[in-house]
Amino acid sequence: MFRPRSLALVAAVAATTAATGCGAGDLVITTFGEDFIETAIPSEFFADGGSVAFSKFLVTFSEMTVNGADGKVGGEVAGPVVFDLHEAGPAEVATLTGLEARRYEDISVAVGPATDATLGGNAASDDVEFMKAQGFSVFVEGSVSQNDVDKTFAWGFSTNTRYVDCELEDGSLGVVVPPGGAGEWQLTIHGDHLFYDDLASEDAVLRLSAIMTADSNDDDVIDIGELNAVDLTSLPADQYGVGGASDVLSLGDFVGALSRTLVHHTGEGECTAEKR
Amino acid sequence: MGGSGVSMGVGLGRLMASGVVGAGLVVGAMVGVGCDEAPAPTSIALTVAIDGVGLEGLQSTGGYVATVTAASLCIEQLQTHAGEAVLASTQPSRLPRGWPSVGDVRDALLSFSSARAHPGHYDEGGLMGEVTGTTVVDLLATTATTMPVGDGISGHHGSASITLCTDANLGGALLLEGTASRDGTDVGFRFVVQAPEVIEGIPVDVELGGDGALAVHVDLAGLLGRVDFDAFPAQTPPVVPTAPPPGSQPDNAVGRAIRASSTYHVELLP
Repeated sequence: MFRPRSLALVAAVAATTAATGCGAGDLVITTFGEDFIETAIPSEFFADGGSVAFSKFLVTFSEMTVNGADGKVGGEVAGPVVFDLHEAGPAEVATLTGLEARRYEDISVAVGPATDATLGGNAASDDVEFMKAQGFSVFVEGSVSQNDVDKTFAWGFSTNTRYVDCELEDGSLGVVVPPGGAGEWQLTIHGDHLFYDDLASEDAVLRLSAIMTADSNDDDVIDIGELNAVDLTSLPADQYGVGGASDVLSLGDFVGALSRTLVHHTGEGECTAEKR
Repeated sequence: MGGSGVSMGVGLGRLMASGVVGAGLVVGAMVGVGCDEAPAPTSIALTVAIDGVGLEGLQSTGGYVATVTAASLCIEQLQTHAGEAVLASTQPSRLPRGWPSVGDVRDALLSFSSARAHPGHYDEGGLMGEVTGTTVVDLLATTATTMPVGDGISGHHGSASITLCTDANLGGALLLEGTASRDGTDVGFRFVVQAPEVIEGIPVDVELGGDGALAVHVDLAGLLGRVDFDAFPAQTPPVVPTAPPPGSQPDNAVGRAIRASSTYHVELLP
């Protein structure tokens, strides 16, 4: 269900396109964590059993641009702005108003470290300040359970990624602004990606065992340092494949690389992630 | 299918039948190509030569210097695709190595990296070339081993996939044997690795306007660089090559490396 949130970002938006002969419309940019982030990832989705429940899923969005493939400028939402995808959504990020009604093929968004200029979206003010202080682009917190063992995790990432060439599941590029109406561009966040066991293979599955056993001091808290201490060569050769990412050496590196794959275009649509 | 003078050789036809790209380009050729349009793809011969690199001063985790006395790889097919590779890294490996691996060199040359933002969504695109024929490559040989001539179509070849095979003499797809030494301690190693699933998403990024020859360099430093040779028993001479236990760190390290697309570096031969 679409729920309008703060309109602060509407004021910050630069909608530069004047209406022309095709009419004009609006584009509403939303973000949504779906059931996997808002509720849980149940055990049937994990190859080795277990489940994950997020209690917080913070993402810093910025540089949302909407342009035509012919160079037509649609608009931009500069951000940066922090949203908590664990909150019930979809949440409105911003609205671009008065755009020429047409398809805008070239849309992009960045997920990068929060800065002093970062605003709050639907995230709690304390969380926004936390993201700024840590310079995080993504922060996730929650619990994992496997074989009647429960642990918690809190992982922050400062990765800087730009998502471009976004296409819908049907292969169509970008978004459509209808005349006299409002189109929607949803930044769909796939929280399950953090638990995939391969960076490139079509056969990647969700796994938990290596993450659970990373808790080297057995305090039932799995932190990033513990993930970094797991050398991938200690794991079976047919799991946690890195493809061409030769700089991914530890489980921490691996999950960090996966943090660059979270953003999808309106459901199951895909973008190309540029590492910055 | 008629055409506007485009030669539909066996290779081009078969690649079209395989389904994907190329078909749209060939349709364009069949209805006639205007002066401003890209030339229609043509059938080309594709050759592949394979060798091993990264052998000099090969140093692994823990500071062992490895001397490789046998290295062989069984390969049965190489395909090239229109799609670009996934997750090419811009960061050089943090492993200490006495000689930069081809992966390090490639990484240093890349000015950016990008990937489809989803595991497994490497979009290989259309089949552009195919070279098939069981070939056992001596990775220590001073000259490259050439596979049987294959087929391709002209255009942009973005990425490649490699299918390894099992050779009875090797006992698997890969044989690596030698001695690793550190501070006067020698250990003998012997790795026999079974063929994994098809290795996909190897960067290629070349334009072939006509017959082409590709070199595939197999990075021996990449294969052995993360092996912890402390896991092998120290030996007094004569050192005997020893296989690591299944599931051990050395076994996992080489098993992972043979699957990594970064172990294979493809370039266009002049």
